[in-house]
Amino acid sequence: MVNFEKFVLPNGLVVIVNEDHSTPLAAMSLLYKVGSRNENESRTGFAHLFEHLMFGGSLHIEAFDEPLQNVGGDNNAFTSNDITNYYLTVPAENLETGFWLESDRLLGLKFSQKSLDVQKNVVCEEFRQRYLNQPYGDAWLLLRPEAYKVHPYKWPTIGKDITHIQDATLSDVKKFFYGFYAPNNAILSVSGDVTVDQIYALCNKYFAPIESRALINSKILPEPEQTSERIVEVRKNVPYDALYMVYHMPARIHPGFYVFDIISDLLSNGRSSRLYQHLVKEKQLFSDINAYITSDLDPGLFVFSGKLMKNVSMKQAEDAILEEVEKIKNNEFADEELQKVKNKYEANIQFANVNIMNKAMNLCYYEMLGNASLLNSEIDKYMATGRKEIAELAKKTFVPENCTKLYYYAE
Amino acid sequence: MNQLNRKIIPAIRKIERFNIIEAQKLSLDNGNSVYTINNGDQDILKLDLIFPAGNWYQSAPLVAFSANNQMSEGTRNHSASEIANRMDYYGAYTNFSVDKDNASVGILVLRKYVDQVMPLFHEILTQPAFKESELEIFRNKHKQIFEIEQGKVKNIARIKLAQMIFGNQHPYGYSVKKEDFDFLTSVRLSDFFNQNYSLPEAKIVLSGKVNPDDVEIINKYFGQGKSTNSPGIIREFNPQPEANRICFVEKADAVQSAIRIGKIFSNKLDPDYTGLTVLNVILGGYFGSRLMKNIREEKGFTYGISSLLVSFIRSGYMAITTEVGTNVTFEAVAEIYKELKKLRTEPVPQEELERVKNYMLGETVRMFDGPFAQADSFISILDYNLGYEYYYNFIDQLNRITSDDILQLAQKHLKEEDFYQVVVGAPM
Repeated sequence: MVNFEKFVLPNGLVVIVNEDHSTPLAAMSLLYKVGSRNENESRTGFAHLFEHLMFGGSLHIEAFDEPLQNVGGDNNAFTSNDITNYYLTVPAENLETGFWLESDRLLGLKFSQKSLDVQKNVVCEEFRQRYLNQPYGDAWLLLRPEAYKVHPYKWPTIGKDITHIQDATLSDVKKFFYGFYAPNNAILSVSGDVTVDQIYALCNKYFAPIESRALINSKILPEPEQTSERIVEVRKNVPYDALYMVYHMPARIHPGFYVFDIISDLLSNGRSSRLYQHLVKEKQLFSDINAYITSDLDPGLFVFSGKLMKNVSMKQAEDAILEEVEKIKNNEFADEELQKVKNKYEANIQFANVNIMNKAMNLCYYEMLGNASLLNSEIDKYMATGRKEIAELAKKTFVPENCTKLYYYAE
Repeated sequence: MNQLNRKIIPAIRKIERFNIIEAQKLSLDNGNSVYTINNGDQDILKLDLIFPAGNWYQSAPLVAFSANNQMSEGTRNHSASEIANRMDYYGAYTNFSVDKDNASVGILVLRKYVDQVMPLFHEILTQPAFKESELEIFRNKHKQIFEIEQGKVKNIARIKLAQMIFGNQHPYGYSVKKEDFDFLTSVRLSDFFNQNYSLPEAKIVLSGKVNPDDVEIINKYFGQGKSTNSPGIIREFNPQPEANRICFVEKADAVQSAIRIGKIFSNKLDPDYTGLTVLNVILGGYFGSRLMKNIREEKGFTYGISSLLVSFIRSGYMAITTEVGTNVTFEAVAEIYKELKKLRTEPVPQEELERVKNYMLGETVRMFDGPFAQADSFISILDYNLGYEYYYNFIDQLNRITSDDILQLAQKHLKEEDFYQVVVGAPM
């Protein structure tokens, strides 16, 4: 159970505070409701590139990192399809520096050409390092545009093409900033050795003077229902074949989301899971196999991905996964297995709540979903999930016409 | 209300609260001890057992890793899947890991389920079966995983550099080959286990919301029996570095080169270690480091570059590591040596040194944040038979260190001629 208090500044910034006096630290998380799904198709990778620029200096501050390091702080950020999240930890007595820094870069960036040029290079190298120079690293670059035909999830956060990043201009950057980085498009959360009064005062001092902004209204087109199976085949210089199968599934706040989360855990969470026990250990068809959900805000994907053992054919591998899916559809699993998955949620929540950074980030995330209190109550939705919903949704979802496959062959 | 002047930097307050909760040492029936760290408000427990069972003690490649990995794949009374089922059912996480010196086996569990999982955890630690059938699956699977990992330039560079600085016959430097998996037998693993995993010899650390009943449980399961360890392998630390200091490994289709430059280095037992960690942080140990500033933030050659200190019990090494565009590999390498030279020849400016000190003081607070961090920080000194003085001295030395100290350390420890260099990538 994470206790918190919430207030909203007149400019629209939502603030959530979790007092945890067992630590000498404070963690601060600032979530902006912008991700790669808000991008224009001819300018992909922008939300993520932008995240890099947020460290290149703001209106009154030369560079973000150094003042924070001066007070013993550490920070980072990530961009997803849906959000951009900045986070830091600092010895609690120096938390004010965090407020000073984060509020100034929300007020305005320096927009330096030099910083843009360098970060474009850095992001291109990130693209090469993570997507092009790893075995199977490009799998999602290949899969997304097949699985999605309309919705912006069809490109990855890094962008669909390196040239989009290279072509970014300062005026693009400015437009993006003022259209998405606004107090009325953000959620701030603080956890650690702080008090609600103290955070209230800091927010009034640093964030309240920033005026709300007119937001860009991203027109995100819904993905039309898939009506036939899609298959991508590639041959690459990798040691073994790999298989990816993805199915469209409900959005994060849809009741069905929890059902699929449970299915993915029945199949693939831990060494006792079905895919590991049956396909890795018993049949020895895969060296590695996973089932997971993408947990996107808009309808996302249920993913199977596995590396095939030598001498196993793609057909054998695929049939074996489908056989496991059939068992889920037919409710061929023990009551104990379902209970096991639920027990794991319960345990994971307690393990996660040890860490103030986790708490701060989760509070932001659940507030974005609708209400921070979901962090404490979501467990009930998992606990209430039964065999009937599992069978129903599995039967509806795991059908060929809802599936996109990537056959990734070794040359 | 006065207009806020955003040019004014908030006051910097000195970092003095480290929240170091010292582990308590309690005796077990068999004369061994358990160290307990009672911290945190969640009802969870973490138990770690550390054995002298790392690569150092193995007589053939992969034996230490495989024995550790196979412990949970079946005991005399329970199959691998029964074990996995029971642990997962109670939401418990077991953790098996091996490094160059030690092996560790741990469990993270909700306190209310301790009774349900501890007997089985004890069985894993005392009666693993090492079945040939399980080993066969492990071998085949890990051969493939090994080959996939070998396709990454970064891994090739890491393995090659260790081999160059310690020598390919040395337990710290040996490069595993795919064929090594074929020589693993269940007898070998079981012998290794019998020799190196003895409970009375284990270092045992219990952290979380610990109460006296929990200690009783630890005593019941892990505080019984006499030592069964036979004298293990006795070796001298005797590195046999390769003659060639520069190595290029071709990977024709690479779009980035991995660079790794390093040398044998002091470990935690060196009285200068605090200063050396400061030196390393300045060079490449944090986001604002010189390497990051120069090679990422100035030149945009890479997504990331860092330098790291790895401390082994009998030695250690330093490595600078990055992946850069193939077209800028030479320039990146030259810039790395330039930064090393700068540290040897110019004192670190006061402002930079203060920043690094404060950053490191903050890191030290983070190292003791919460019961598990407390436990991990304790284990990392326990391995060296160091006490908490290590951390108190560290903080004290960190506060006192000067630019002059750093300059002297750099001149002594960062001589260009001592470094080895690996580049893995496409030919230029």
